[in-house]
Amino acid sequence: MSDTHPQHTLPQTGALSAKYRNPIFVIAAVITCLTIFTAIAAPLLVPNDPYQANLSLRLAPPSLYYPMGNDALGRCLFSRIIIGVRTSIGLGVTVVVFSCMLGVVIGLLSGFTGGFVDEVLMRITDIFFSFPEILAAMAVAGLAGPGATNLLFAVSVVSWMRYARIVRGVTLSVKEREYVKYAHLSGVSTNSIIFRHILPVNMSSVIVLATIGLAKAILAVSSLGFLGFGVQPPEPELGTLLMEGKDYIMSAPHLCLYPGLAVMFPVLSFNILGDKLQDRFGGN
Amino acid sequence: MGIFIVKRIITSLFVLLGASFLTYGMMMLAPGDAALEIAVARYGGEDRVDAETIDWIREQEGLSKPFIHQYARWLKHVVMLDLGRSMVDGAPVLSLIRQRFSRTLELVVAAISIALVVSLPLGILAGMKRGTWLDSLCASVSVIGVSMPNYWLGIILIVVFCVRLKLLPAFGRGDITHIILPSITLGTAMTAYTTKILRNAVIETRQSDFYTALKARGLGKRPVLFRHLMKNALIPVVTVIGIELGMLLEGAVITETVFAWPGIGELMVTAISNRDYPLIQGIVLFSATVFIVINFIVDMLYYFLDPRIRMT
Repeated sequence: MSDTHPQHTLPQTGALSAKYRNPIFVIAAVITCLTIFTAIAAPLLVPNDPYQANLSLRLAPPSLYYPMGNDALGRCLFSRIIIGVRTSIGLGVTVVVFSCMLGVVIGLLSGFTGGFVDEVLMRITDIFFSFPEILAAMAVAGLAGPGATNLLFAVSVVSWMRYARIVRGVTLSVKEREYVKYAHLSGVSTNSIIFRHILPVNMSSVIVLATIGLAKAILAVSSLGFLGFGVQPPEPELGTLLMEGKDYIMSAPHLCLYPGLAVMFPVLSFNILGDKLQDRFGGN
Repeated sequence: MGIFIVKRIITSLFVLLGASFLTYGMMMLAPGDAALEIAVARYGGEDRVDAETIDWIREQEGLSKPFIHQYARWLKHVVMLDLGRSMVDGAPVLSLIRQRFSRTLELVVAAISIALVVSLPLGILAGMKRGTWLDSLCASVSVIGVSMPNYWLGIILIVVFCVRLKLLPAFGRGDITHIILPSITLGTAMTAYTTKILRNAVIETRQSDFYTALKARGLGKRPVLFRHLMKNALIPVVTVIGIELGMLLEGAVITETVFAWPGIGELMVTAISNRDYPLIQGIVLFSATVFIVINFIVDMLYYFLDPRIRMT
């Protein structure tokens, strides 16, 4: 749903108007920055070797040296989560980049060319939309076998359609605007019209979709990890960590608690940011 | 009106055909020799099959023919509702799916009931009292609900209600208490989403001209709320329930794994682990069909509920 506040009440005084200074938005922004920082600087942040087993610390509760306790092999859970954040966020961002590029190209092509090409591309989009995302990604990842490339392919192939539909819609309407027609008449090349006049108009909706898409992609990647079709142990990924911890919920619930929180907070903040951006840009 | 329905049916059938093509094509992703895999599954063990048997299977299953022939052959069976047999125990795929789907449906119905019971009053209240603390609370709770990973919520519920409080059973399907935790897990995201959509729909309706006109004519609060506001605000909810049904089917995969609920999601996980190709194909195609049918029904409902669509 679009912005419900009347536009004229928005004080357009600076980059951050009063509306965006609300505490939830600030918290979400801070968590987002922290997450990105953790993902980038992960190897520098880990207090212990995330792969170093130590059976004497098997399922140990949180302590001073191991702030989130130890897993079934006595590895430092905190270090594994830090590296896991890097893996999950990294995969999520890559999925968004791939699916976004594919969707934007198809949407532009469809909307700009129109006619038969549009019809064919949109029906193909419909067909891809007809599969339940996680189920299809699971089948693709499961069939193609474990591995980061297959995982990326599986999640990207089920998530490009939203971009394509939105970009097509915006392109269709922008194409008919006067300034695009004038540009065309005055001899501006098609490439230039697409890249300088049509693509920029699409950017706001694409950014909104990509922000919410990042949250979805992280959930999808970690869900597949949890089901055993994503990143394979001993490589730490948040969903995989949860899968490993699942067998010990009776004796060591901290093994599930912390990785879950590490998924939830980034996803939550991306969703909040996405909502705010949507209000701001009035996408749908 | 007839034309609209016929058009919609034709598009749905076309999408279904495309979906079946993709489903079959998906199998090409699997590495290795399909004939060998079938042979191994059938005779149990790679050392028990010779090259001759594999060639025979390849011929018999039509695996040496071009892809499009194989697809046509498969499609012919599918149209006659023959999805083949499981490579593991030889049971017909369709009957496996039918049996498991009814259990998933139990879970989905319970989750939808929870979602509606909670989100209808919450969404309407939040929309009516827009901008108050109640509205902000609803907004915060719903964004948390949407962002909470299903698998994690399930595990936390098990830890709290089963391990600590020892109130509810955590695994399997038995008496009515078994369905409580899985359906809460499955229903949370839907509750959150529906609340948000309903709130926005209520706000939008309250800003419309007809609502102002009704109030100006001095109609009481109650009739305006129930007879006019609700009728309009519920239209987007119908669509959302359609979309959500699809999301629930997906969520079911994870929820069923966490709670060992013997539904279609759990069947899928087992099928993939066993590389049981006919079963994987069957489930993927079946779920796509369910999606397409739901979309069709939602479109029809929309058409009948909202006369404004018929004008365009």
